Amino acid sequence: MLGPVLALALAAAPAPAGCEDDAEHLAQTAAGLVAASPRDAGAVAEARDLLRRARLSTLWPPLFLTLRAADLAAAAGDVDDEARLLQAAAREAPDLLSAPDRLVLARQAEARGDRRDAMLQYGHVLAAQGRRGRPAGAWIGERIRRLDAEEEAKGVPVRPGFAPPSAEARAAFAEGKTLLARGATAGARGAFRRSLGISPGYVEAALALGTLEEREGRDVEAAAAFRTALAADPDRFDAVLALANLLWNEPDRPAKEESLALLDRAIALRPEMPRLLREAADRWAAWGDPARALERLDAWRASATLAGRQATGPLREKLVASLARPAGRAAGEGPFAESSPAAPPFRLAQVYLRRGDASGAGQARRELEEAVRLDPAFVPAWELLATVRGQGGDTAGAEAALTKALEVDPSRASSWERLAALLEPLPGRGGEATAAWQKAEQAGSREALWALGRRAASDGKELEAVRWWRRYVAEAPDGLHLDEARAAVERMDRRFQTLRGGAIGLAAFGVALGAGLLLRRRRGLTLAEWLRRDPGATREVRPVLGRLSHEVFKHGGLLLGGAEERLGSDDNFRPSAEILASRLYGSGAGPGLVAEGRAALDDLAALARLRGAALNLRHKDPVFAPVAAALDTLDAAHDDLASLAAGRTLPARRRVGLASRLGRAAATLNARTAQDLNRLLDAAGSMQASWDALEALLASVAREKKLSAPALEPMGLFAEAGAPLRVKLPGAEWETIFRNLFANALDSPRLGLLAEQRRDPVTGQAQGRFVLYDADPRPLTAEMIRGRAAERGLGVVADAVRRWDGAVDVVPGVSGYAKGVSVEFAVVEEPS
Amino acid sequence: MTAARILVVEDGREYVDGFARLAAAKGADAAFVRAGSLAEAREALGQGRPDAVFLDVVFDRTPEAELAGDLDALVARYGGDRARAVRHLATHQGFYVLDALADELAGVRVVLAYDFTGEEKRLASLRERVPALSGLPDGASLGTALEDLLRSR
Repeated sequence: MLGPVLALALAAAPAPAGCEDDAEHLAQTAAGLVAASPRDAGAVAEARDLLRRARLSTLWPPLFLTLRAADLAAAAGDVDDEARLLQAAAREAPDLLSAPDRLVLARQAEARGDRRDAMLQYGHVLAAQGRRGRPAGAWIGERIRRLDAEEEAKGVPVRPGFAPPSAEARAAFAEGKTLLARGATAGARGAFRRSLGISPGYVEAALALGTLEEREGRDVEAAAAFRTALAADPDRFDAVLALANLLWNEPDRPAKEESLALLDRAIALRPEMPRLLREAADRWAAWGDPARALERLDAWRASATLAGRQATGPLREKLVASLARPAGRAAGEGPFAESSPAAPPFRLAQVYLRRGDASGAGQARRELEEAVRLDPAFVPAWELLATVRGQGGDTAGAEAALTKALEVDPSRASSWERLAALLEPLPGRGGEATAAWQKAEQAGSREALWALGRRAASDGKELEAVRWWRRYVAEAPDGLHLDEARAAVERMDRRFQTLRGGAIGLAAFGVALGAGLLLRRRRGLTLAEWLRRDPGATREVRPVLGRLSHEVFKHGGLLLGGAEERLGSDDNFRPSAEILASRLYGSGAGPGLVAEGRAALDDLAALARLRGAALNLRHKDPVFAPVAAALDTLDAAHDDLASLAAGRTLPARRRVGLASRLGRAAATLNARTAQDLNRLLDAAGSMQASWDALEALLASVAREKKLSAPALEPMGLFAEAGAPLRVKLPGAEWETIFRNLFANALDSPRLGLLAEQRRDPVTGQAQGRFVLYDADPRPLTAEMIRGRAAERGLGVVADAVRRWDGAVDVVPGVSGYAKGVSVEFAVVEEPS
Repeated sequence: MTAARILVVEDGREYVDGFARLAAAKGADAAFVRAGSLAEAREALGQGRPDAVFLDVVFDRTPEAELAGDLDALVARYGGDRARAVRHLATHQGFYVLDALADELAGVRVVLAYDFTGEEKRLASLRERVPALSGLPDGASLGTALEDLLRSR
């Protein structure tokens, strides 16, 4: 195969120089040996040894030596050595390798499990055959597709051992559901946790807990619970989807990346739900991977209506146009070892289904049948097999598969769900479908709530339907039918309301009014409560409160200070009244302090609404309720102040009343209130920069990436163990920034982290400066961080820095480090 | 004895009107000159050294072109975010005016409408350039500020 090349190479080789260890001399000797006795195994072995010595005698062995050694290895039948040498030659001169050489390399790559390299080598063979106008064997294309699917299947999580929940755990779970139905969320949370404590792999309990936490806005806890569910059952569709949706709303890129992988997984688990493909296409496009977005969009369009295809035409064109951009790779291996021989074919089947091409369903079915043959107790494979058979029109086969799944685990909600969905459209089997939905509901299915409502409505049992759907709305915030359920509940509520008589309506109104008066002091959140729940909001709140402090509290204090006293004296108050009236109620120059104050309160409430919180500033907030009352008081003083400003006199009683009003307003609208608000903001929007926490965060990031954490050297204030800096940004943002900085620095053998305090040269404000130094020689500039915002997570850093009024830069290295990424934020000043 | 000449630098008229009214009520012999920007403040200083200067901090009613400070440097610091740079200049304008006038204000009592309570080191660092600088505690009345300004006499 390499004969002509070798002959040329050997002919071009210079004559021996007389030194026995000279590479060229050794090669010539080897060539002579083989030429003399080409079929003598001993001569070939000796020649190989000479060539090995020749290659070792030089730091960069010439190509002809490597190719000659590969030929001799082939002649000796040593395919491992042949492949190794061919690989070395391929690195140096890839064009010199023939198609058979490439096939050897491909087979070797497969043997060592390197599917990517195998695909690459097979690809070379295909390309070479194409260049010569020869058809490549169909088996090569098929082989590449198989290897690609196997490679992708590595990213599909494997399954841990499967243990049905104990009776005690199920009882705790049932108690939690009962408590939840009564609105006793704290008790429900406790019961779900207890249930999980008894049976840690109880998916329904973890799922119910996650849903409850998510509904209460505790996203971190919700994500943890969904992860618990997935750890026990990686194929639990609603946990996959719930976590995908939860993580997609997170600001940091790793979370979004995980979310995308989960959504793909949801598609593989429920290929009968094309709307997921549409959603995935949008998200991959938003993520910046047009290839994956296009793949999913095309899979969706294959079964979409004409209108749907037309509507998505522009998106498709846009994706095709932007395909030049590179795509990232998803997800590594799952955390568990294989627990069943059925797992590999099961994962492979998911990949085939996810691709959605014409042959995918057939290949998936074959893999799944192999999976259940290898392990008949592997329930997820039975379930997916049922789906594939059902899609292929084999309803009886699908039902048989689900019956098998339920024989193995009758407490599995997803199997009951699938059985119910399969039976529902079949003539004469509606009753069995309802019974299956009820079993699913008892097992903890949330989708069963929707389905049972639908069944009840179709039977004319509207009250029962509304009961199911109310539960669905409450218990399945990520539910696939949430919008429909909510609309149905509202529609039916309206109908019921119309049916109720006027007397009932009046009575209800009276009760509601009384309850409203009672509740208005309790409902909603104070500013402090809101910021405790959502510290990230301090960034947007600060400018609104800054304006309020400056315009209303500071200026209000200046205007109103002493007004009560002056009005109570016999002084001519007219000049003061003119100033007060124009500043408080506005003149041509501006809207006035009262309107400014009200606008700021409205802005604050609107801001909270945008972030999903309802504030009760007027009736509940200890700071703002007096402010709102003071603004009302100033409104009430308008007519009397205007009279005085116009030069009219007031009766003594009204003059005293006006003085009292101004005094009451001044007691609230002053700079002390501004101080209270600043303290509140600082407390909610700042955090301590702790060395221990950062060190632990680095270790955690490294663990997540399955890498060892580089040594982290404390520098500056971190090395001095002095008073830690309190940085003016919420802890979650701080963690996001350093999580991304660390994730980008794990290739460095060592890291240094500097903390220092300095002052802005103009404003004198205390600033905390933190520099992460690395020893990675690859270049990085501030423009790369700011300009290519989506890349490598550094864009998240740039975004967070901008949001929190900080600065980011790349600085030269010190103490042997190559460079540093510096972030700077305002810090709370330590008292002197 | 001539009237105390007090320069009030602010974007509105809240302080200067308040000081004038209070001074008249107290019978204090003071003349107030208002400047709405750094350029106007420089012009006022050119007409005579004041006895004291009062500086507001937030100038959010001042046109962008009239704001003191190196806008280009701030835009670069904030990664090209011009709006953010302008907002920073407006909300810290008193500090930038102080910085620009520091040499001309040597020996002049300056009251900055900023409460340095809890940030004493910040005040000390600014005093390195303007030694007679003081802040205005948030709880202080206009009368207190006026007394502080007139103390230079």
